[in-house]
Amino acid sequence: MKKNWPILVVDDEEVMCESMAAWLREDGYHVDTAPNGQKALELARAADYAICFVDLKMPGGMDGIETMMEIHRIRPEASIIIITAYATVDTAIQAMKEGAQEYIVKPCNPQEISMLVSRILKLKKLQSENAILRKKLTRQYRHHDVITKNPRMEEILTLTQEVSSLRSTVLIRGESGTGKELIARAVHFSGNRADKPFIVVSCAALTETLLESELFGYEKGAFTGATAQAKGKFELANGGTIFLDEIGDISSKLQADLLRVLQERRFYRVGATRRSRWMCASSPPPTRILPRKCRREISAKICTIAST
Amino acid sequence: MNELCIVAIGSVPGNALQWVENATSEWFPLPIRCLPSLPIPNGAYDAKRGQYQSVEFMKMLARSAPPDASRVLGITDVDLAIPMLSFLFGQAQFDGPVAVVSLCRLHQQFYGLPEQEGLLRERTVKEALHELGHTFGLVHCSQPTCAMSLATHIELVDAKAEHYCERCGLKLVQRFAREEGI
Repeated sequence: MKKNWPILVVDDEEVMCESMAAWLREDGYHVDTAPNGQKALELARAADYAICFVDLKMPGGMDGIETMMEIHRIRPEASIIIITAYATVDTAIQAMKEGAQEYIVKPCNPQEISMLVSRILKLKKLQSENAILRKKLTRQYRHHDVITKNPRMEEILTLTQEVSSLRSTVLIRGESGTGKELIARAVHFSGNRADKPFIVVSCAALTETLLESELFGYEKGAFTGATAQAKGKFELANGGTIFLDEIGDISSKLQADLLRVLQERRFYRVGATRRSRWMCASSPPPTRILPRKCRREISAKICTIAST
Repeated sequence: MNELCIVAIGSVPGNALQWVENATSEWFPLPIRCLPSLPIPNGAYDAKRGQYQSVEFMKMLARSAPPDASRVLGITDVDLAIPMLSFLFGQAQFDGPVAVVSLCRLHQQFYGLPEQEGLLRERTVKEALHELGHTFGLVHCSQPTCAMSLATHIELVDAKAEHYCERCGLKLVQRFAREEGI
């Protein structure tokens, strides 16, 4: 894993460059060194460095801040660590403002450097995995992945494309097995929320009390067994889409709670305001179930755009 | 024949070279030779930090290595550092011929505690195996008990065993089989 994250050390002092590089190589990293900003940029053009240690003061030519800014221009993803023997508050503020990930004063404790490098690389690994997974998901749920020759279905796909970037609530109706969730995913992954979470809640599979805590989350001590605060599905779907499968099956009490969230388009948790798009699915046609089971107001809210 | 040479740099505790020789003979199938002591290199002392620059020790070892030496391990009792780091227990040329171990921070006295020769021996052996491991291409090991695990403070040195883990040991054996034709 470590070989995939090359490191660049930029310092005009050869001893500093070589000793630091030797120390990092012992940890299994591929390390390059540069005696000045120009050489650093030349190397950064050729290799995608995960971390660049850049000395703040380098005589002649580019200083550390300039070098950092230029490296960032070439490699925006690179984490720059500014190192200096002469730390001042001003230089630290300037370095951080210009995009340095860390500002460290040499000499450092070996543990500090070791932890810093592994923390940055752990984050990079997670970001990279996340990007790969999102790409896979997006690819999996693109519109043209829904295979159909049915003109009615094609109409629905056109409609999903139109609504994919809107903030409106979407109601998807259809018999069991007709692909309601697939359409929901197509809406989510083709819109501008594709990089945000897509959360599925099966309303029919949960009891009223369980569904309430699943949707809204709970605070520690809210009920017996709530030993710690837990995020609800709304909070998890922050900025993305929440798909309420079989919404027709929820109780009247929970409908009232949902109505409040739908009307205000936000819900409240301690210290946070969250917003996410709604998608609901109903297996029996709502026109048939609504008078009996669904409140008129909630029906109006979720039927902003309905596709059958 | 390629040898593994051990050399004291400056004054070191009497048995230190013997401890290292005994431990390394178990792991490295090379003739082991203790060389005459070397002086502390000129210009290595950093008066501002009150420490010695490790790089100067490495350069001196590389210069003074006998022609038939495969690896040279220097043992010193002074406090080593590099410009970036506040101290080092040791340093090695990765996959290269020279390494150095500092005993300074391996002494209990350094931490204001009564000296324990047994503990100093254990720590010396662990760090010598660690740095020599680097010279044979071993990187830091994730197993805290392996001699190749990274120790950034003395408690981590004490957590290590006086041997390599199975995986690092195997890599070493494979390396010798490849390099020495054993």
